[in-house]
Amino acid sequence: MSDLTPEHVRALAAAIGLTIGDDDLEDVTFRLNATLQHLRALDMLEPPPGPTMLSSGV
Amino acid sequence: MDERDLPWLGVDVLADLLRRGETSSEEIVRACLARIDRLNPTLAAFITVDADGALRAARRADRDRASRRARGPLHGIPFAAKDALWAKGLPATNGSRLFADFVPSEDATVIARLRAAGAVLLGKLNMMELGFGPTLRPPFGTPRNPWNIERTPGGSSSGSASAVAAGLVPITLGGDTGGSIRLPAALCGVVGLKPTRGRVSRHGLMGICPELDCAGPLAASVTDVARALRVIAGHDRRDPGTSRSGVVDYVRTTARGLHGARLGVVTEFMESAVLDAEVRRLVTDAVATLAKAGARVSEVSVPLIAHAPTIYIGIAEPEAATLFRQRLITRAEDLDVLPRRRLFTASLLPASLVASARRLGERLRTEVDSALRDVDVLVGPTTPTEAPPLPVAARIGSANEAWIAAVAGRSLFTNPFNVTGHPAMSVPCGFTPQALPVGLQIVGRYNGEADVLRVGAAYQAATDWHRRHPRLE
Repeated sequence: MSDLTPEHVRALAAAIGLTIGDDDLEDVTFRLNATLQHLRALDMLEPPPGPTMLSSGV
Repeated sequence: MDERDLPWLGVDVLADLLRRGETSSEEIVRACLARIDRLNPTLAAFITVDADGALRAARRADRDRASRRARGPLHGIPFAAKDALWAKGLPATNGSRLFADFVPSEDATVIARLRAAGAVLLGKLNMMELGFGPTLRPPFGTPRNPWNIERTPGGSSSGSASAVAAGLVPITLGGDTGGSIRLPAALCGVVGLKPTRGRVSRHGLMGICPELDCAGPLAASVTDVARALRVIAGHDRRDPGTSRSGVVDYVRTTARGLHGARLGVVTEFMESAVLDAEVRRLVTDAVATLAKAGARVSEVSVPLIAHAPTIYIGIAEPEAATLFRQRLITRAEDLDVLPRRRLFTASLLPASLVASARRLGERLRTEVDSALRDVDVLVGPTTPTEAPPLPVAARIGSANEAWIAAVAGRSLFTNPFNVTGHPAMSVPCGFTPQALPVGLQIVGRYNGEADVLRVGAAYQAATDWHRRHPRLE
């Protein structure tokens, strides 16, 4: 999956009312890409949905 | 006795002196205030010193004692609290300009309970901004480590640990969401306990993730931590997350010794690539000391614990972003640069990945429960390194560097137990060649604080690390 660009990050932030200044933008972009990459990797550790999860769904 | 020695004495000795009329609460408070006057300009451990309020409370405690109305071993003993905890009529800045003018109209439950037990609040303690990681330009002074003032005391409960280490006050309260009590306790060479989730009320604690936030005590000795926990633990109707299970006489459990105790050394911690060799050696020595004192030691594995920092970030940081969202929109420039950037980042994480982290957090809890089936406590290092130099601005040039900055803090070994909710305590277990303290982490079953305290007390009975003091004057 390709990394988000600073422009993407600025747009995502604007969508929820946040204004990320120029001084912070590059740093936040690096941090966000790194965090997303590691959180996505957690998916590989999750077992497939089982009976408990299905029966507890709404 | 020299009045200047009073702040160094533990609760047992102070309570005994008070009982025998050889000192007064007012004398103890004055000795602490004098020491704060001398050392706080260097250490920046306190944000607010309530000298008048403390002296009034001390005189009241002395009058109560004179009329045989002493309320237990903490009666007349001074304490101080992290500035994230509410104390009626005193500022609660949460270490941030955002809350510089906030003055709560009531006490946090933990402060109210210590006061009800007769303890005397000296003031409020410095911390990392919002409890959210290193602060480059702390608005209320740069907290410094009493063992080396060019090193960080850790955090976020920075002042809670450094004040005890420097002998400014015998007991403090901190808050711990990912290690914020245990990390500074380890780096400053004092004892710090994060209780079981729900064991201690969070009412009046300005945390960052209510699910993981805990309030807990710090002191030089495990016994004093046990005394404070005995008072602050228990159900609180103002915190529906608190447990109704009974509060144990934790002080009594500290005298039980180690015979028959079973310890599990966490393999993933001891084999961690980021664990400094000297810290590993000191922790290994500590485990050997515990074995010699009667504990049975085995190795245990918690495979998912290697992923705990990512799980923690997935759970805690979006919660913090939600909590401070309005202030991030309207007053972002009033935040220090690192908390601001972390909050911006956390604000943009998708809910689907956060949910995945939560499910894995539940699995991690099951793994830790399983590891604790055959042992009474888990043990390992509290931090991977000794106290590092004070934080400085550093440009991040890649996603990899950003990740290292995000997780390679010293919370790698502590945040797993915020995710799972198990009680965990740091006990000083030696000094590096740079004369900086190192902590041994002891983790118990849910509501198993008695086991944690028992092992910690037995370790302190066999060692003298906790009796060493930094040279500050």
